[in-house]
Amino acid sequence: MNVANEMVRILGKDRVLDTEEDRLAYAFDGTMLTGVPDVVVFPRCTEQVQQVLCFANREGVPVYPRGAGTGLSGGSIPDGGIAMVMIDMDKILEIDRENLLCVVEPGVVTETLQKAAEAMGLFYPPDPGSLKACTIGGNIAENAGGPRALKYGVTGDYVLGLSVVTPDGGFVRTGGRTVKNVTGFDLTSLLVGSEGMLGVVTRAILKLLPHPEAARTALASFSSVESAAEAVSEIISRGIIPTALELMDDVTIRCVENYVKMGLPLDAGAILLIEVDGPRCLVDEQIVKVASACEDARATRIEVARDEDERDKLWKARRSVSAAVVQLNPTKISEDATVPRSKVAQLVRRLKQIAREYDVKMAVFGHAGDGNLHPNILANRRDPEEMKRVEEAVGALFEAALELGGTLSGEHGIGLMKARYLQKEAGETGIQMMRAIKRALDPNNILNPGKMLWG
Amino acid sequence: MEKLTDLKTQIDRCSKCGNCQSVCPLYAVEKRETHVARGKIFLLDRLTDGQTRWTKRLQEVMSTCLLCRTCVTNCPNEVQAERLIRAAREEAGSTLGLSFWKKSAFHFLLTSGGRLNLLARLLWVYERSGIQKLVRSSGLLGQLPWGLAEKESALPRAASRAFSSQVPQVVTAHTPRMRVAYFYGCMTNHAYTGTGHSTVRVLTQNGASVVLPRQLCCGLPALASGDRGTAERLARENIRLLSQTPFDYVVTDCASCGSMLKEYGELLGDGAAVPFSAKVKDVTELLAGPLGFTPGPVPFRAKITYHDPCHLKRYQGIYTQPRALLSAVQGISFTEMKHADACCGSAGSFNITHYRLSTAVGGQKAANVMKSGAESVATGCPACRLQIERCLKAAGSRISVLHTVDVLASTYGEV
Repeated sequence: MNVANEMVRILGKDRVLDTEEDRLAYAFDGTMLTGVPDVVVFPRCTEQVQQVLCFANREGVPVYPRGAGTGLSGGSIPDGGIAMVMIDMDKILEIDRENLLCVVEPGVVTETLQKAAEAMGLFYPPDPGSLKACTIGGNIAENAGGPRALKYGVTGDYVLGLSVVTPDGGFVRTGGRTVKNVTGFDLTSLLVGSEGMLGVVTRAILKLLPHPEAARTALASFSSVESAAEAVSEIISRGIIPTALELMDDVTIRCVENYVKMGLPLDAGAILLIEVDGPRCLVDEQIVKVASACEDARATRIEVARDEDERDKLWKARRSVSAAVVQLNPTKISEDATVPRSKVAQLVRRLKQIAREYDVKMAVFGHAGDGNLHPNILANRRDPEEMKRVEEAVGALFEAALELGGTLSGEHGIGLMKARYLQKEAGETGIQMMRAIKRALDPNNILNPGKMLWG
Repeated sequence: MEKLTDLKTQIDRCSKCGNCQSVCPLYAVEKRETHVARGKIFLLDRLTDGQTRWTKRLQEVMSTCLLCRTCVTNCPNEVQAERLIRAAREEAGSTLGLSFWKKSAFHFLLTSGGRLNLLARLLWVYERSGIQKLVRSSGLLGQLPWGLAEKESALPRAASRAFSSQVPQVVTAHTPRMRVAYFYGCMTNHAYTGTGHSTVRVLTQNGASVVLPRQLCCGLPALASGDRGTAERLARENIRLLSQTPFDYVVTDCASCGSMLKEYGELLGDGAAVPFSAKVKDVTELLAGPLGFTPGPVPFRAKITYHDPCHLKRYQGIYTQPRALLSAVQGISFTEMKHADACCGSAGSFNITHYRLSTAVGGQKAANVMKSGAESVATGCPACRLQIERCLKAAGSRISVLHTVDVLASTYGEV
């Protein structure tokens, strides 16, 4: 049996790739991990996905579903088998203004959906960092978050219903078009964040909101991460939930300033980028409260954007982080350890200790409002000795997050990267429970084998 | 020669975040990882690590790029993908060889003004004698291999006589304030001779005397295809030819030639090339800068939009100048189209080697031009112009495509 030939029979010649070069182009995601598929396929409809899985289940060929391949946990990395790329199923089928929902195929790019919703005065809030490229299918599989999660929640909070192809090629609809739905087990929630191991989403019904009228932005500098953390609790205790509460530590500030020269204070210990959104009269009031909360937390400098241009300038600091930190070293290992909001300052302190202890370059930034930090280790992947220290440092930072009552992953997922740490958080029984679910739904271990539960 | 292994740090900087997917014009029409920068960079990483070798398919993957630099300007880690891809093409060319067609074109045609002239004349005869009509209606093209029918339709309409043979070697301005050497390039010389006359007219009207030295192909088609040897040879010869008479600036109205001439310094890295490149200016750059531009009295009554050539905006940073010049013309109603700086898909010989992809990218450009409501579209590169003309025609539109200087020249009235 030749898998590629069979795939051509099901999908047609132009939807199947099997040269070495083409297979290599689907061997990676946004991490450093790689694994080469035997064949790459691009289904165009639910029936084709079913046929591929029917065949794979019968013949025992593993299938690795994939969206845009921008994941940060290795969740879509193949190991032989079939890489099933969902990006050609990319239609927005419906935007229902009356019921505030949309129906989309999995290959729709997140930003494309946001723009389509916005054109109708509606709002799809989840905003993962890769939103210009990543797809809804991948967002659902990893339950992706983003800066706005503090106020608006994560992808899973917007999934009302799913159409799913099961590992043996069957088909199931979960949830529906209603906000309330308590009929049976909550299969939608089970599938959200299941990292392509329990089924392949071929259609999703997503909740939308009315688009907020206005947004205001402020940038505040602090002498230490502690004062920045104090500002975060001050803001929230005054009844304001900002859309964004982005923290940058001293290393990040220096990288960014060195890189874009926008006049950031080089002696600052931390910077907070704060954005509120809502009705215009309300945000104008809230941004004043935000500024005074920062003042009370001994901010050394506060800038409030007066117009769209100024707002864009303040965001430039945050947007430049990625390019700025790679100036330290070319290889970036981005983690997403998350702790309760009140423990953010402690986590940053522990991270700095870890960086010193393992002698790695680390920039810490991320979503301070929901405790989801992104410690980024900057290394040189061609130096095996350094990479070993990086690996140990990553292990230590997971320990730190768990000790502070947090979690391994706030928004990237477990995939391959964190599989061997899962037991520390989920416990043996937790893992056994997850494995039991996996075995019940996918007895032949066809869909995305080797991920998450088999660290 | 820039070796791939010397560019390892560029390869290492790629975090494979996927931002290139969201802006790549080729990915927009056909969503395959081999089209975008990160896919190519991953393959080059394997190659430079010695885990894979050059194959025809790898060469084809590297050739499937418009070199439009859109991903480069949007890359959070500032990976210079187009440098990598050019170096890869060069290495592929020296390892596997160039295609028969390209090799013949670079070595035989482009290195000699005379031979290119002869081809242009033959093309003119083919197009005007009725042979083209006969060939097209005979169905003969459809019988030929290599998709020749499509390729034939992408040919420029050749001029009966080259621009260079229609003008004197020096055209003096009334009260000259500077002297410029005009590098008109192959396309203006053989297809858009009118633009050549427009450029000379606008320059002299604004106080620049124009010298028209003998010249050869700028070398970009060869360099972009990985034939650095030919490109270097052409660069040296052009510097020698143009430097035979003194000039304040070298001016060109071709975005592609301009970016290449500005790169001579880096390409050859010698004492003659670096100062030469420093004196190269696009015609709109010169007019909006050191020379200045005063429009003539004749209004240009039309709604017009502007297409940014990749080689002007992303290679030379020129995009405000043409808009400012056009807006200075009386009677013009200027309107921006959506995605004005999106690549038109021409990309040199890409529209011949990858006709289908090129046409799909060009179709989107044509659609945006049509949606803008403009009656004319101006641009700064004859290759873009040819592509946009072809794609507008295919979409059934009668919107005219002009070079920016054609609009500027029209303000001085009929000759």
